[in-house]
Amino acid sequence: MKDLVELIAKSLVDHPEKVHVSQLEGEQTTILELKVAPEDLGKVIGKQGRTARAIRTILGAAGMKMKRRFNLEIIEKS
Amino acid sequence: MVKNQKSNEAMEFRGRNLDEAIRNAELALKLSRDKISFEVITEKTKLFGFRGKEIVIRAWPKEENETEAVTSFLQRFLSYFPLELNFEIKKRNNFIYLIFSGPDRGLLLRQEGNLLLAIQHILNKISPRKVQVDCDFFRRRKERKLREMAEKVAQKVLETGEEEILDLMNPYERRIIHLVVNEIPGLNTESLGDGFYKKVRIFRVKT
Repeated sequence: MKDLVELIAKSLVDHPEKVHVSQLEGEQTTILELKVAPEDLGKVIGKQGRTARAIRTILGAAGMKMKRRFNLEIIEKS
Repeated sequence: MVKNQKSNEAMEFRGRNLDEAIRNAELALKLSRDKISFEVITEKTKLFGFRGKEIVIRAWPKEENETEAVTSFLQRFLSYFPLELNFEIKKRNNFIYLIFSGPDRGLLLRQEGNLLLAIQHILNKISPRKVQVDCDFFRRRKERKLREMAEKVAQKVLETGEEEILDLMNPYERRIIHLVVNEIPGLNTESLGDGFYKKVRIFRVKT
């Protein structure tokens, strides 16, 4: 799932080289931490959070199929 | 950046040199330069040999590559995505039309096509052209449902004379409501609020 988030994020931003995704496995939940350059934050969040919501919807569907929860956290790379 | 008035395909880009103008075109068209066609319109050099120089180019996506951004993204996307889906891509006049199929297409259509529309949203950020996605005649069925709902509410407003306010809808859904209701004499519509999702008010007017 890390690859999926990375692909989406890299396709959206201006600085794909600054995209970094890490995956933290919990018992039932996987947390995906997406780090992007500060100037790209808006690109992955979108107007009124629509893009972030779309990515979460995609992860939700993947989770339904895999019987697992995926949480996306978007972090500004400092 | 100036929009070309002759055609909505090509746009004009400026730069101090050709490289900069193409770079601006790359950013705006979301394509790398090998996927852009362009022509130089002007190359103004100021008189008396001053350094100031401006170049204007007209650039547009290369024909064969219009769907490429979407196709290559989707191929990689589906290789990581655990759902089993296939897609067929078609070019219609001004946009890219994408039809999904496959054993897991039911998940695309859950919650009024939530996932389908999420994928469409992402694709539209990536593609230089507008992308419309569909699956199992989702669009046609949804349109029919909206039409029926609009007609029913319109009838009620006509009979009672009292306005009705519909739930939040996206621009595509609202457009259908406006079109249906405005065909009926004596009724008018307006969108309320701001943002992506708005409510539509249906009300009676004197004819």
